[in-house]
Amino acid sequence: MIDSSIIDQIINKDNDAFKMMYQKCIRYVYSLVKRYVKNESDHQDVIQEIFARVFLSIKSFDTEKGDFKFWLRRLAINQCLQLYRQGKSPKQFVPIENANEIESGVVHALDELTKIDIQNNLSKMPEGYRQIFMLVVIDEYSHKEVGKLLNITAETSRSQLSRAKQWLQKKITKIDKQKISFHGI
Amino acid sequence: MESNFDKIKKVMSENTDNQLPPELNWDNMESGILEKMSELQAVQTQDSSGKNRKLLIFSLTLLALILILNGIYFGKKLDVLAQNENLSIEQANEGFKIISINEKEEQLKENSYKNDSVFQIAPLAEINYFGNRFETNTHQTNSRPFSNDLQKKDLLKPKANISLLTKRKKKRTNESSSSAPNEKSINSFPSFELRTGENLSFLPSINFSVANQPKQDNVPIPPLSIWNNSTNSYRLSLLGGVSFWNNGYGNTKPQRDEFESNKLSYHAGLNYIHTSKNGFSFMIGIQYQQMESRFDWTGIIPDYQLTLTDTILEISTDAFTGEQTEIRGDVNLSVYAERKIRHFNRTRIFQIPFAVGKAWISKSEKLQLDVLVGGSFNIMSNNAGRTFYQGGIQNYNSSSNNFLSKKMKFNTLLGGRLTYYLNSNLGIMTGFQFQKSISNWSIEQDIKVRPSWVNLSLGLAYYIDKK
Repeated sequence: MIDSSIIDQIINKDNDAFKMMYQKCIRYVYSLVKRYVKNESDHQDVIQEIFARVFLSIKSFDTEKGDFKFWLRRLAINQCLQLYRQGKSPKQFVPIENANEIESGVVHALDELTKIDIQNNLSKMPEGYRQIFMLVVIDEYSHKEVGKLLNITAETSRSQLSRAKQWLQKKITKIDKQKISFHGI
Repeated sequence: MESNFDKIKKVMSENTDNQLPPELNWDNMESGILEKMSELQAVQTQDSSGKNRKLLIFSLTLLALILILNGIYFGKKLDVLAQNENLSIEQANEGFKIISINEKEEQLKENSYKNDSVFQIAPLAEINYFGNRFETNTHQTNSRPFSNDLQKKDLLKPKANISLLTKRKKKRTNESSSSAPNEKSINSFPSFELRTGENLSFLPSINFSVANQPKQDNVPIPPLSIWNNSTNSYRLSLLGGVSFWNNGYGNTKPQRDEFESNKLSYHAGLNYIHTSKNGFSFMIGIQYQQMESRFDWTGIIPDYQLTLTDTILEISTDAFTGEQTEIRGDVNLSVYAERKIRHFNRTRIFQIPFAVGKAWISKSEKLQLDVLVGGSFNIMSNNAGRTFYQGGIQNYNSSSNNFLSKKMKFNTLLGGRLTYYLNSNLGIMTGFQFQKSISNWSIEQDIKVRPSWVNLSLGLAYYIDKK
């Protein structure tokens, strides 16, 4: 993603190198931010914060030990979750008791799910589930790491993921039922 | 199901072909990033200054401890010196008495100067200088023979300053102790010469003179005197009681604080206190501290699903026979519900408190007051409970340890104890202790937890030994 020479230049406070890095990474960072921060008005602010932190802490990145993309992803996700820790992002976590009552909007057959449909469905997932689902399933964090990031236990992370999966399962079941009833008619 | 997630993962991971909004172009972002950088640097500077402040408090505490320990050490050393000096000065005084009397008699014979005033002896200044460490009798035996026997106003003026006097006295002590004083050796003693008619106030030793003190016998005795200088004590004390505590969130209160209230808590401890001859104490022990809080939460569930099983759904009446038939079944109801949760949370801590201080004991040796300053280390801690976190109810326990770090923490300590001795070994004790954590207990980012607590204790004190 980024050459070690560019990283060295950034460490030496070369603005052109930083600009080059920004242009190479912004799409990836934006996709991460979109996944974790629902509120679009926060996107610009969070991305600025992420790149400011990249610039200030890039010295700590060891090119021999890890991949820059991986390092950047960690930093970006951590910054996105920071919003929730600070309470800036609205709490959309649905208590366990109510979780089953969430109505989904448009229901599609699983085979016909497009990227946008998946995004839409995930965006409708309760916040508490969604964050953990994203972190564990998509970004491959361990439950222990999720626990540290969200200040919850690994057990809580596991149970939340399990409920998130159940939530999705229900969606898929509904889809199947609809398909059956449609074909039955 | 897993394959479904794999599909979702694949779709989401590849999701990097977003169209960038124009506000995310470098030109629009550059100034914002620079601004964020300067903000972050300022925060980092504040953090480092906060760390420096912690370091400063720790250093000052350490310095205070060192100074107090130093005081104890030098206090002991002075005590030993004073005991040595006591011997030599007592011996030296005997020499002075003889010299002075002899010289006085000679002088009196020569001058035949008569006056009714009390005879004043400047060299006694040395005795008085250490006087607090001696029995009052020492002064009386040294001063009274002159006043009773002579009843003359004669002034004794030292030729040398006080420090030299001490040396000379020692020299004289050697002479006088080796053999009985004789006239020759006494007359050759060069320290003093008698002069009459000089004002005592001009004498350099006047500030230390016994004669300057109005009445040696009427020195007021404070209700609590300094620790008896002949006693070293070793005490064990067992104490326990109630604690009032505060989370110490400062300006970083988390949302869960709205639902939690601190409750009366408990503590228990076992301490060992060594009190030296000069009243300085050193305390070390082990202490258990339990902080209690109550979590009260009420949540509204506007459409709580309730299933009524085997409920009468309908009653049908036969028009001809009038017989009624019940139709039963399960009913799903959506009701407005209120969920209330009350849970008692607790944080348990094992500490090693340590402190130095000062002890005072009453004249009757029944009451003892200790004042202690020091610190404590939390060596073990765990917390367990239930709280509201990130929009939901969350349980936590010692293994999960959600909010508080298990690392060793340092707290400052200030305490006081009052002990009433039932006999020479056993006493009952009341105590006060204030502790404030210097370390941050929280593992949550942006949240500081530096609790403070006040302990009120009752306990028993047991003297292991008195030396």
